[in-house]
Amino acid sequence: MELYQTLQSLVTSNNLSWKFLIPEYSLLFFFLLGLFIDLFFKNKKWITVLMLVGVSFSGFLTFQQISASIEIQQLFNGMLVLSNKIIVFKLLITLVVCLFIIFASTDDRIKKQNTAEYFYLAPLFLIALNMLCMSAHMLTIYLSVEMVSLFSYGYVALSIKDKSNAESGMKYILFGLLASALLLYGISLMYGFAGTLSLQDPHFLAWFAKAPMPIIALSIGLMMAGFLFKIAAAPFHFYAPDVYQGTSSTTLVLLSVAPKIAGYALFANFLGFFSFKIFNQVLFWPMYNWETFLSVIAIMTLVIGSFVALSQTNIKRLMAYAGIAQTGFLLMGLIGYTSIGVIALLFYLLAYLLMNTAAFMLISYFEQQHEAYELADYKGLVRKSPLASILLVVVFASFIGLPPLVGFTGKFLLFSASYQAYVASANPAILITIITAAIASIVSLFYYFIIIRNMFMQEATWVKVNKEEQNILYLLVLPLILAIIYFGILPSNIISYIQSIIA
Amino acid sequence: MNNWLSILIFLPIAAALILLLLPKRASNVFRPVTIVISLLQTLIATYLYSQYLKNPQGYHFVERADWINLNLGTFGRLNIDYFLAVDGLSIGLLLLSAFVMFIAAIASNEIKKDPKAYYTLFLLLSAAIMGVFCALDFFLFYVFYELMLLPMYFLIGMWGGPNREYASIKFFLYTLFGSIFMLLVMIGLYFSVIDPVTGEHTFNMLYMMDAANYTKDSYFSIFSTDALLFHYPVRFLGFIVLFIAFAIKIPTIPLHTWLPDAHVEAPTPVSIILAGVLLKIGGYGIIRICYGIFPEAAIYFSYWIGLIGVVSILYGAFIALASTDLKRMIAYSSISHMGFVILGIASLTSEGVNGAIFQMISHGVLSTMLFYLVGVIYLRVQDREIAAFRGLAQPMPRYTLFVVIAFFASLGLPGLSGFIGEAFTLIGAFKSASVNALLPRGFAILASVGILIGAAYFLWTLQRMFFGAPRFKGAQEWHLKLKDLTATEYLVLIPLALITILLGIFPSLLFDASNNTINAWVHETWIHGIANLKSMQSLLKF
Repeated sequence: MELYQTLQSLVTSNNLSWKFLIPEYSLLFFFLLGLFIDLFFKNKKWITVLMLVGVSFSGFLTFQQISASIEIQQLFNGMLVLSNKIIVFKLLITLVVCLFIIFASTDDRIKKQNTAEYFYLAPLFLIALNMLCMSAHMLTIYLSVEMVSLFSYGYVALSIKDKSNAESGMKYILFGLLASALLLYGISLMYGFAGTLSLQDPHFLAWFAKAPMPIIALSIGLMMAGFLFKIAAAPFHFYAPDVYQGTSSTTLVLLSVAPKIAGYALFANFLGFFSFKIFNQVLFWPMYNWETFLSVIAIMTLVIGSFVALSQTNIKRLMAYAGIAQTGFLLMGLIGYTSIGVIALLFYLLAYLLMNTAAFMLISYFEQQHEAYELADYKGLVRKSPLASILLVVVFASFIGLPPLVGFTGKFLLFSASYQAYVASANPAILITIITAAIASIVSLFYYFIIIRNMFMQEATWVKVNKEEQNILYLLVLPLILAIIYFGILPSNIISYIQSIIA
Repeated sequence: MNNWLSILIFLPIAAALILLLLPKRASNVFRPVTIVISLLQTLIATYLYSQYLKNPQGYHFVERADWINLNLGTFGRLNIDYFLAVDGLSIGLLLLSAFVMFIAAIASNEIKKDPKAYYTLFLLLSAAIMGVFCALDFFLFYVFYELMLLPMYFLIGMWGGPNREYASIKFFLYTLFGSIFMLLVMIGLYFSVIDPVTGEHTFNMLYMMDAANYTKDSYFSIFSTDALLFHYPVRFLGFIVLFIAFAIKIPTIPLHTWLPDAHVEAPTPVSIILAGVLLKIGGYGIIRICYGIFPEAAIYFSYWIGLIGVVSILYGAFIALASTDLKRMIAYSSISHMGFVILGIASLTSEGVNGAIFQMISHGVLSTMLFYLVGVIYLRVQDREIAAFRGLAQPMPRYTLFVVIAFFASLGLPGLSGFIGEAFTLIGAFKSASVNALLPRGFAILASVGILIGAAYFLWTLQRMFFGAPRFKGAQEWHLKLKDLTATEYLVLIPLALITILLGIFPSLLFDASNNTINAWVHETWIHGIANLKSMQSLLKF
């Protein structure tokens, strides 16, 4: 009789849960539609438009899911969770995928390869990323991490043109496999000692706390390996420069941002299972020193990203290391796991999305227009493409955190959040993180301005110019730049909105 | 109409946007537009100055509006105001800035490359400078402060001399180093200070200056019993960080090394802006922010601040004496003269601080004149080695007249503006020993030695370059090139020379505006500083 009741409650929960996955169904539908058109029709140019419609539509459906309460919805007996916070993460990712599809449709190199899968895989990738944001059970975490990795490998492989790309694809896969093996091992340890796979199980923390201290540290550390790989944080950042260098800038618009946002969503959820909110104060699970752990990771990531970026000669490798440094900044939002920290994280993710997308669009433009791949190729480019060069200055200034651009507002919020976390816990590791982040900002000036200096202050050695100007690019980049400036000067509305729905 | 300050700030931004939209062909309108805009700014600033003199105390032309206002749930609200106002401390510097920008715009006739980009950046810089002097919200101040960096970087880096890349990034890195840490202190202050009206945290500088507005257990509170960081009071660390940020800007020893490089590489108008305005922001920041917010630390460290000032005076003067490049010599003389500003502030006497403000304005005018004069000969023969010229007075007698005025004013000849500033700061430094016992008398004596060395290098340069029989490195060719002043050059130099003389004879033109504010400021800094220091010493036991 008891078994019957349990089964019945399971079924009821499942039945109630299906409707929360409507955006994912619509994505699946559009993916199948794209696949169908690709197989049976000759004219494939509609796939792009269709996918854009599909992804935007799923974004609309996701937006509709924002609920009045900030309660966390348990789906499928706690396999997945959904809350307004997760919906914001999902919306950000959807925005990235939309921008990617629009931008990829302007890329001639993709048109020449005639690869429709480039576009109809996007909805499927988005499903994987959404699942990653929502997963709340060790199994779903592992499955969605793997699913995201799989599509990432696919996208790297799709943009392969020569052997060097094949090498970077291979490195990506090998590192990814290592990370997921570590993740799986961490999960198995955690399962072994906690006795449950569900992170939401009320007994999970109590049981897990009985494990020996080294085991707790080891299993969390191993699981973190998988997460850190996804957000490209030290010490699991090694793949990023090689992958960036070997992958086309168009693909990087997607790959440099989307998995990172999903990784942060997962990270934030995961921390949520290890923290308690008591009288508006967030307390971490006392068995594990999350603040110190996150601070150390952030410091390592900031230092490695910033200082190695200084010595790069290739624009994409530089952007990869700069991206690692940015990861360090983003981690600052999670250190205290305060509500202001999460808001700062979400806002900086939005900023990062705008800046990185614009940056890679412009880098792609310079690649196509002037065959500029190395930093030295950027010499004197302002003479050939003044507008694009000025736009790149705005993007880089925002990355560095100069007001009144969105990067500054984001960094300001992150610094404020860490300061609050420091005041609340008086943990010196957080203070060191803040100071390291300040120094990393200064160093970032140096490496971003190597490019600016080359563009504006040096004479061109040789510059190839492909004749046709890509006006369509400006149509894409200019709105992003305007958003960078707008959210820098007037961030109130968007932050208030995020705040009102998540806290 | 009560939004004059906004007009002053946003007029150049609007003009910059219009310039951006103009086609590149219209290259001959860029400079006139910029000149007209900066003339308008100067007129507005003059009007504001005259209005201020009618009732020279308190804050005038106040503008206040919500800018960023966020509800952060349990963390209360994030309030950032658009808060502008001027008082006796900033009104003079505001007028100086507008005027120097006007002169720099006229002096920009040597810029031939990319006029569109140049004047757009110029106007953007102008807006940021006006904003810095008007902002009373720390966040707003910071935004304007950082907004100056990018235009300045490009102005030095794109239109500068052969070593411009190095000089421009050095300038940028030094300033950013100071300002990033200033951001951290700013955030710390924000979370410590409560707006007494609304009960929310605030960036309002005026609230930060009142010890009563700090929440009791916050890090920057005077009444906190555990506000120590690395066993050192947090308020002292905050003061040191802010002081370093502004000391880089002034610049003082040992943070000065970016200045000679930047000056040597920058084109004449940019040098004028750099020396005439940007250095003043350092002095202004120390008076308004460092001393205003942390009076007890200012008193506690006054000996060291005074020492830094004295060392800057002497070191700058000695290096200037040894310089072989005329522009480098003037750059180091700037460091020396700005040392008097620090010394005057450190004395915390009415004479000293009034003198510091006078010295800043006087130096703004004089350095504008000096750098323009260097530009005049550099434009003719592309050389400014002191040794390359001899007997310049013969081919260029009128030019020499202006050089003599500028040099004598700089070395502190009575009757010219430099004398008043230096004399008052020295009086302040002398008086300090008997009034508040902050600075030893020896500082004032050493600083006077600095004036002596200043006289030596200016007179020696005058003798080497201008007197005697003409003999130039470029021989006959230079004789033809070294023509006397043109109409534009007169247009720049005559008002500058007149102002120097006028301020030297009627120093009350400036003192009338600053005196009330500074007297009150000195009094409050002293009273609050001593009270805070006592409270902190008893609570923190350091």
